[in-house]
Amino acid sequence: MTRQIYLHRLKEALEGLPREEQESAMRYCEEYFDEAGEDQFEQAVHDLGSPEEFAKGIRSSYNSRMNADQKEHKNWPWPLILILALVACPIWVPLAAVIVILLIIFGFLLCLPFMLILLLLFLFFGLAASLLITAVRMIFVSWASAGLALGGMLICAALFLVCLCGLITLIKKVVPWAKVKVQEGYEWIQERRSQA
Amino acid sequence: MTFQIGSVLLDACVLAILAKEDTYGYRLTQQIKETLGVSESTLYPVLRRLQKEELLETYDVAVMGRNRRYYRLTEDGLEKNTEYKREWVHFSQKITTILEGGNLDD
Repeated sequence: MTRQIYLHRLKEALEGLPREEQESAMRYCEEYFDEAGEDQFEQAVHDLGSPEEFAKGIRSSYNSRMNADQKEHKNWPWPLILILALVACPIWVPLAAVIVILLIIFGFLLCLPFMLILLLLFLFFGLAASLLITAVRMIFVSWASAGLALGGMLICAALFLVCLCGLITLIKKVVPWAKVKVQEGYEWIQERRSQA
Repeated sequence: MTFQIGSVLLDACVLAILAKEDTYGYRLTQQIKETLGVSESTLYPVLRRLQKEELLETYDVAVMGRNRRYYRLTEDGLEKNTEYKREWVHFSQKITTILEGGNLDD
């Protein structure tokens, strides 16, 4: 291959790139041959690779540079987005409202077991206390009634303890689970940030 | 060469060579080719990209009846060179530690 043929094939292979890119590459190549000298021409061709290979490297480098530029300069058209948001508000306002309501219901359902157990705790505590008072007052009136009230009080106290154990178990299960979830979320955010 | 050189490391090498003195494409290539075994076809795109990133710039010098295009570092390029050198010390120390069977936690 002669120098002329190499440069001609390179010119063809660079077709489609911006003129400045083409000229810069051609110029570099010519200079490279000049520096190598005629006796080192074969070695220079060996270094550069075929014109097509050389052009391919330039092309892929140019493309990735353009992609990077586009990413960098991709600015959000904020005024347009604002107008679109205003126009579309009959759609997204009810949608947002539904999502918020669903979230509230979901949160409520999550809290439900706690609230139920707390309610039962208060109920049994109240019953046990009132039955104890009744038993003490009945002790001088009727032994039988006092005994009955005392029995009821013990049953309520037992149920109170059962609920208390249930609550403690629930908390023990939920707290580590929530901790894990929070940790996962935190790590996810960190990962995103490091990627960005 | 046993080890492959990545694009960032190649950037760092080009910047370091140019930090020492301005030079032209052919000479730069010969220097890099000898030590790193990188082909010319990968080097031109690197120079072009670094130029577009404004880490280096070119100027022409008349030599033997034609122009020779020299590359030199810009202010940003000098800064980047310092940064790469610092990073490299850190990185290479870690690699050496691993290769010699040391403990990274020390």
